Amino acid sequence: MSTSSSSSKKIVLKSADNETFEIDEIVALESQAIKNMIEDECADNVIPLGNIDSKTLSKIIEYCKKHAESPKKDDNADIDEKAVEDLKSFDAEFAKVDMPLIQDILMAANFLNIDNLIGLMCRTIADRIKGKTPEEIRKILNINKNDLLSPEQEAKAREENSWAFD
Amino acid sequence: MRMNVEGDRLSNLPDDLIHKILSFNGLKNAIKTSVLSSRWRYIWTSMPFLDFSFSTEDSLTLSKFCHYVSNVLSSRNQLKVFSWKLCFSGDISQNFVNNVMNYASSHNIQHLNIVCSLERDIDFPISLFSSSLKHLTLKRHITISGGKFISSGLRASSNLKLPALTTLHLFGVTLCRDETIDKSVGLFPKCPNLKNLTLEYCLLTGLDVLSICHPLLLELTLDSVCGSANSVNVVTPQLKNLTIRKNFRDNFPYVISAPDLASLLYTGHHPLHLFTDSFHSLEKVDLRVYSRDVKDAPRMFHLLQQLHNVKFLTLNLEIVEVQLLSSSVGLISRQPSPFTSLRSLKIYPKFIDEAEHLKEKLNISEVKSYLLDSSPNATFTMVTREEIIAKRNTELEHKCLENLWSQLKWAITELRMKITNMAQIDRGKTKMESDKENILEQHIAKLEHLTQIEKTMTHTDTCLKDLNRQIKRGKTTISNIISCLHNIIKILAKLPMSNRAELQLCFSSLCSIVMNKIMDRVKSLCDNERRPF
Repeated sequence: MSTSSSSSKKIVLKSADNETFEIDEIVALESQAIKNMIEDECADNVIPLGNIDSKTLSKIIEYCKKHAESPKKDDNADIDEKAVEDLKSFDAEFAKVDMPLIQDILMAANFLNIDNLIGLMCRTIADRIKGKTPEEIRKILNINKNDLLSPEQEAKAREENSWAFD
Repeated sequence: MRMNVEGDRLSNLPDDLIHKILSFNGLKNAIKTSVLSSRWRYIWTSMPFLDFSFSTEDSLTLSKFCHYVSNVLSSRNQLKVFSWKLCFSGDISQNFVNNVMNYASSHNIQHLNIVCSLERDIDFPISLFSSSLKHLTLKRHITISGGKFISSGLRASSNLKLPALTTLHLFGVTLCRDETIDKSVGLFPKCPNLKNLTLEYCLLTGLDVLSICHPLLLELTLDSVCGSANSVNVVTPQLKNLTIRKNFRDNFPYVISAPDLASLLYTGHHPLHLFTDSFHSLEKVDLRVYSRDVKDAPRMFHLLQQLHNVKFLTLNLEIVEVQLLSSSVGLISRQPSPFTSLRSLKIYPKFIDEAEHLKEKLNISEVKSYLLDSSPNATFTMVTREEIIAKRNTELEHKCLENLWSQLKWAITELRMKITNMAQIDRGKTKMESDKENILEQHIAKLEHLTQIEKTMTHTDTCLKDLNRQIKRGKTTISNIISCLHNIIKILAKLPMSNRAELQLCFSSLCSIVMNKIMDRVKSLCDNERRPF
């Protein structure tokens, strides 16, 4: 995957499964971590991201591209509104993926320090577990069976926090 | 980032991300996650954001809510709280407020956000927070009636001592002057680090001058502040953004010293009565003035004069129509063009639907030269009402079209359903018709059968009549035979003995034959009578 504009500086990201992604520097700067690397001049031509697979990384680049291109808050209020609306619907569409991928994106966004994306993923997860029973939440989040509380422990937790379970 | 590919990724996340997820669904739902697994068991207790929300729609009663808040607070007594949000409505006691504030102050809270609607007067002992509080929002739902808003209930002192506070947002709060403080002292003198101050629908009591003197203040919003003050005095050497909105038709002077001001947004009935020692770095000004009073024109010119450094200026069309043009004829031509560094001028209408009685075509050239003569390179944008109306109509059309489209779709689906129904009905009809025919045939068959039966019955009747006739005839015959036999017996008795023996034999066999015949006859008769017909 590569981007079109030829004049700007390029950054190459390499995923855990050795796929390379050439992107505009401006897109890469959406990540605070990469920004710091570039500013500290410790970024070579290729930035290896050993803990992010290509599927996750391409999603993240899709997100950063859109957000880097969208006009920042500027003097024209009309355009602002449209851009905000546009970005909102993009985000909504972007988040329509399965839970494992959302969790992968969240962890990668956390690693790359992309604030907006962390927020979007957290909100998406929050929305999906909202109003669900503990059993449903365990299923949605794929919580490890070995990690479950014993019936006695669960009863104790309920008892302690009974005011919240009314 | 497939660390354990099909496993539980979320539990591997750092606490602060899980806290973030939990913070979206409210505290109560966060607490409920304590039963999920051992990873989640205590995670909510370290949440740095506490959001207590209570509303009358909740199933919680107020006393339960208070109980719940105290429970949460006690179960995390040792933990640091970063941010705290508390929303409630109803008859809250001063005692409850004091407890909550005590907790908040003893836990070094940095963000405090209180939204409430109160039924009685409550003092918020904000001064309890000594060192930690950085952001404070205090919002009370207010009712506006007859242009005046009723803002009793939530009181705070004008003499708050919050040295770390950088953001203060008060909404619907009554600000009372501390009696021990001199009248000339400004608002919140003991909040020296304030960078962001917003006062909305606040009522001032005991203060003649609304005086805001904060060396570090960057953002200031004064929205519909009213009460005892009759002038505003702002001394803020670092102020960048100033927003003033006036819902009330007061006209008192604003004396503003803010040399670094970059942006001014003003909305009000009259032109802002502004006095300033000059805004050197003014970038953006947006003025929205709605007065139709031509007497306001000189003040409008004065205001524009004060803003002469502005680079991006936006005005509403009504300012041009009322204040700059139609008012005192010739006033505008005597005014020098104020703006020397203008790069962009935008004019757009506020009241769209008044286009009708402002039909006369405006001669904008005079206004244009007044506003732009000293900045020949500025871009000029003017949005007319017609354009807005056209845009609005287009949007309306779009909406109509969409509506129509959805209606059409609906109609089509409806139609489809009808068609299927019809087909079903048709099928039903055909079936019924064939059934009908069947029934008819059956009926006809039955009728035929009935006729047959009738025929049979008539036939049977005739037979029976015949039979009866025969039986009668038979009976007569039998009685005839029997009388014949009696006659024979009489004759036999009169016969001589020698002849009698021979004849007796013949007679006996005859008798037995007759008797047998009669018995047969009687039997068949009886059988006939026992038949159903």
